[in-house]
Amino acid sequence: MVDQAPAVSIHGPKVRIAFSGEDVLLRLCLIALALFLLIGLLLPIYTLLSKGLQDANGNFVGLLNFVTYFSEPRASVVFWNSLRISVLSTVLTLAIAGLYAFALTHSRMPGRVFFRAVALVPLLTPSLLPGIALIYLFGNQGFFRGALFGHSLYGPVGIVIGEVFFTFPIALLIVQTSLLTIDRRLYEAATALRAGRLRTFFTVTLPAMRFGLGAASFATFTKVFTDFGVPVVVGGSYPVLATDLYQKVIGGFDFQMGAVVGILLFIPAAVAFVAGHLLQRGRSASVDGRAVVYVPAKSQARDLACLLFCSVVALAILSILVMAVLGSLFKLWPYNLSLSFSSYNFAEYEPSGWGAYRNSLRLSGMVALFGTALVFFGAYLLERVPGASWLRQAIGFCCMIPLALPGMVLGLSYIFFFNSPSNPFGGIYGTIAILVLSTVVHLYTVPHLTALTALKQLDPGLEAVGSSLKVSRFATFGRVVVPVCLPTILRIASYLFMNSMTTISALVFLYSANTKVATVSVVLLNDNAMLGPAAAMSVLIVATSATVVGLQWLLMHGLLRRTQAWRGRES
Amino acid sequence: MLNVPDGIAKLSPPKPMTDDGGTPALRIRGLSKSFGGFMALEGIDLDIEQGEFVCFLGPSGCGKTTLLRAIAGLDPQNRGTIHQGGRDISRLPVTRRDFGIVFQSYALFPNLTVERNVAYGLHGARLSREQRKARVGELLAMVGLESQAAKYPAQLSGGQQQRVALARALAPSPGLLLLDEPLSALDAQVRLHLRDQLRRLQRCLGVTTIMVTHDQDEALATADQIVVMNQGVIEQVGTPEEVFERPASPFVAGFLGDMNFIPAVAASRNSVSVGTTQLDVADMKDVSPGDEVKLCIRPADIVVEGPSGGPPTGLEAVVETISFRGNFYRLSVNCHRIGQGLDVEITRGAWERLAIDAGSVVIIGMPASKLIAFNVA
Repeated sequence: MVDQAPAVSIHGPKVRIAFSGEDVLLRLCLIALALFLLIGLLLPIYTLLSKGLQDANGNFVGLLNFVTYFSEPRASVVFWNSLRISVLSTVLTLAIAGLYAFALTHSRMPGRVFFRAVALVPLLTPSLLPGIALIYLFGNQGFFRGALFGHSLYGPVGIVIGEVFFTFPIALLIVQTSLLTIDRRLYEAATALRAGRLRTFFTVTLPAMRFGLGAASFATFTKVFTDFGVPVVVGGSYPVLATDLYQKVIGGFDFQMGAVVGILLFIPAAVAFVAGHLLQRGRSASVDGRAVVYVPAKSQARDLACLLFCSVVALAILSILVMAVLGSLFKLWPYNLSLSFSSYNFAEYEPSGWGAYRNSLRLSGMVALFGTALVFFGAYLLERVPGASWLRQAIGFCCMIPLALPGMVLGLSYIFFFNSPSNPFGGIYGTIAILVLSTVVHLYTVPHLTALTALKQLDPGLEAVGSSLKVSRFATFGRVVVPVCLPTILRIASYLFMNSMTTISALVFLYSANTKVATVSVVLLNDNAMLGPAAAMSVLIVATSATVVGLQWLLMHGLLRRTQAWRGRES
Repeated sequence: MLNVPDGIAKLSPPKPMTDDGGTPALRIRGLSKSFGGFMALEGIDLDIEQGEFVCFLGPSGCGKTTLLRAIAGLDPQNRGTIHQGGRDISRLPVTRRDFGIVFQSYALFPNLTVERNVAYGLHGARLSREQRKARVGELLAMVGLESQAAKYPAQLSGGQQQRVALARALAPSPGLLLLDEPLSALDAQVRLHLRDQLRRLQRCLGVTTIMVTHDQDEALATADQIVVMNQGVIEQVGTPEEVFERPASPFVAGFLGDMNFIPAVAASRNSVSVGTTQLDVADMKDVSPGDEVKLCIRPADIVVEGPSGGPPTGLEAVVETISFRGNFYRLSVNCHRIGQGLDVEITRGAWERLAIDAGSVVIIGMPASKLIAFNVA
């Protein structure tokens, strides 16, 4: 029998569930993650911001440093240079990437898989590479220097071309995603309502692209605004904020002004971050996850135009890559163009020799190993462990910050924070540990989001069932969550490795003689006018990235085939 | 499909009945739970006896799943106590409670075979490898899936997955089985079949079971006791017959099965005046003469006769629409004396005998024993 017993006062004491050992351990892990973000991210940023408001002796001076900075006539020139370069590059990149994305998704031109693959090549390269290749192509002694009609490559022209190459795949991926989510039924409805092709483009395609174009322009703008690799190679005497910051700190040891420039670099990224957040909010409601994929109708004229356009773009991308490879093989450009591997004999040009490349491998390996473990387990703690909701929310927000934080700003803030004599963690300064830490933090957001997405797709009841069967969460994590998410974990590891190989921004402030990495070595070689070895080192980086991506692809396929029985259909 | 071999009862004996029902399997007192400012559960008191099959029934958002999750410790209550077999489990973490659970999505471990899914909870128990294997084999036999042991969940049908989830939950012989809409994700045919099998299995094992459902047919067909919930409170607890025949509130009356609601005024302790007529009512709930009431009668309980036949207390009504529903006909009739339309169900036999068309005049009778009046105030 079931009886409704007489009601008991509902004002009894508030119930608190007793902690099991496992709960305590999970809570400690969460606190450890919070401490990691505090030390690796929040405190350094805080130090940087406060440095910007202090004089050399540490007295608070408000915005005086900013006033001093802008009262230098040179300073506003630098600022406007950066702005002009960024706007121009963004417009060009968006136009090219937008058309390219349209061709990939809305035409039936042949070779779409090939064109897509070529478009992603710049993701494998350090941003130093396009600059070096451009010098071979259009520099003062370049093969096609006439193509610039007397303009010098060094300066805005070179920077913009390099940045367009470098940011093209980023913009392309974002715009392409927004085009792929257009529901085919919208086109069918438009056709049924007798809208012409042009009207359909303006009423269906373009509105759907709007968010993608917006997001892509924010991403491109901040990338260009904060990029160091392209201007340091082809900037010439045209200063932008990133190179100015480098010179102030490394050349002039002017940390106060360095902090000011760092904060200036941070501003557009911060604005983009907030704007992106707001846009995303309005967006989520209108997206239907079950959109029917659009299949373009036949149209020879359109397909031919798309093919021509994509061929030109792909050719441009490939020639930059091929030029870098060739450049690394010329015996003595531009006098002796016979091919040899002498440029790869790094010890002749640089005291660290191949050591820089080995350091890069070590760094990338460690970032991939520790970073993947940290990011994935961190995302698990945030997504699938109940309780401590305010702490989890705060951590979740902090995990998004690195996306908005330019690498150079992070590197600079690490100098301020870890180089301070009173910092107990100061010991890592000058070691590879600080490079690993800064790179993990710098790259944190994207893999974090990847991990969250994968974890959200798991059945919410898995851990509950495990607990009801008296199996600890840690065991269920190891026996179920990790195996199921293995493809994602692999993807994260490969992302971290590849980006650690190609990154330069934060590391340029943090390396020491013993921990010089390949990208830093490229900068130094280029500074010393050793273009061949610089190209060789860049090519080495690209080759390594490509190998890792290939390896990941092979592993993924092997893995998916082996686990196909239980994964069912999955890409 | 589900079959229960003779040996099964020996291996998972029903928990011994406590002496005289003094300690119920589950005793809930003063349980409340809020999410932000929203009261999801308010002052829940409930006893569940050993071996019972109880359904929490209600519309979505009524708090039935919240209550189940509080019992499991997955979303602990803010206030109130839960005792299981006399032991206070109010503050225990999930791992130290004694229950098995099946979710609507089943939450099977996709990377483990059926066999290893079922064995998942047996590793902590002190069983040898052989004992564990034997136990898994016996559970799979019980749910009729021996031949699927080596397959992965993605290779099974929905109904098979559901049975794996059930076997997994029952593997450690829990004292309480919690089912959160376990049949909702299945096709109608499979669902009917499985719900009977589930019921039979539960009878046989004698495990105290709570099933959350929004499907009244499912609750009526399976439960020993139905707990009808609405807006975070329990509206009524009773056997399926009790909640269907004698609903305790207008909500319960309207939620289970079809019901006509007629506004009326109490004329005496056992009659109401409605429209221009008076009706005798057997069941008047907290009603004094003069109160406004809601009069309830099920469409199938209204008696219909031809214009000449009719009971002496019958009322004239005009048939407006007729719809064929398979085993019966649903008429909507307008009764002038009552002043509103009513839904009526008649059997096919009655339909053939009366030869009704739209526009026909019939005599309807509303037996006092089938009428219930609820106080509106």
